[in-house]
Amino acid sequence: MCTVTISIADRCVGINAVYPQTLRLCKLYQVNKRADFSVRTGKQEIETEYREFLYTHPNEMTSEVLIESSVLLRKIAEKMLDYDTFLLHGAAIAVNDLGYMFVAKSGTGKTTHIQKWLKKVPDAYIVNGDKPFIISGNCVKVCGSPWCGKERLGCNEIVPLKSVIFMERSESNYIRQISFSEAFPLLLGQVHRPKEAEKIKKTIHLLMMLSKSISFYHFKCNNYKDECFETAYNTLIGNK
Amino acid sequence: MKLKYMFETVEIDDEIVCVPIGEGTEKLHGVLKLNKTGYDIIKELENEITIEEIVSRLSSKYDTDCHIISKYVSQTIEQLRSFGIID
Repeated sequence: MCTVTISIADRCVGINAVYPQTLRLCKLYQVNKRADFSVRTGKQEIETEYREFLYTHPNEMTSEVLIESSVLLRKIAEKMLDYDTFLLHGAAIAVNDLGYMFVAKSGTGKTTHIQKWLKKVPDAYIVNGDKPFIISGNCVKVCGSPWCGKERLGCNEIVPLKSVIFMERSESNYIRQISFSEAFPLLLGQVHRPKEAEKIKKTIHLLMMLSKSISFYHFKCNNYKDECFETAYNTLIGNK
Repeated sequence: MKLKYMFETVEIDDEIVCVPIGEGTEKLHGVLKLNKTGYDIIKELENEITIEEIVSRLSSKYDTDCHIISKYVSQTIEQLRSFGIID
């Protein structure tokens, strides 16, 4: 077993992993501090999940290391609920140290879109390109973590979250602000949902807290058209 | 008949939203958005019950004619059945 302690989402997490390669993903987040909690994996657990993955995804490639990484993320996500923190699928970018999170199903164009922001906005940076942790509460924050997608886009930063933007592919570019009532089912679709009833209740409660301080938008996006960046930027940041 | 799954309920902007939990998390995709009467029907369905019993209880609660309530309850039950939420 290999052991390391990392700092993510304002918590120190002890990780006991089977494969040393898994821990290399966490290098930027390593700390020499006492862990708030620990998670571990076992060889049998990984092998079982690996076989299940091959059965349910016959046309996809994976490895025991990737499976272990996924198992660790899931265990950390479920424990983080005790610290009012949940996992949301999306790409988070920071501009003037405020976070903007683009949420959509895989393949919609989140990464492509935020890379346009990197090119056009000085000092913008990607907090997490795949599954950031969100600390809920009076000041909601979006956090970098080692689990940042296959392109490894992200950094070890935590910034206040200003807006969540639900993306959808479209022929033309159009963005509008939506109510929390419209946003809530969309958030549920992309949040990590534990199987245990008490944990999903906690997740729902944490999502509800976002309504107090976060703005929500629906963005119909065509990344092939040049104005897609301006459409989003002018509404989200503009001259505010 | 009764609900097949458990739900957690929250109120958002005067709407009642029921989120599937437990086994429903895997089987159902989405949430139920209900008004007050729809929510009352869902609450009645947490235990085994007939349409006639629901109609009777809601008629008493809202002091409304059974005939009016019956049509609404039947429509709601059919819709819930089409979502696969009740037996």
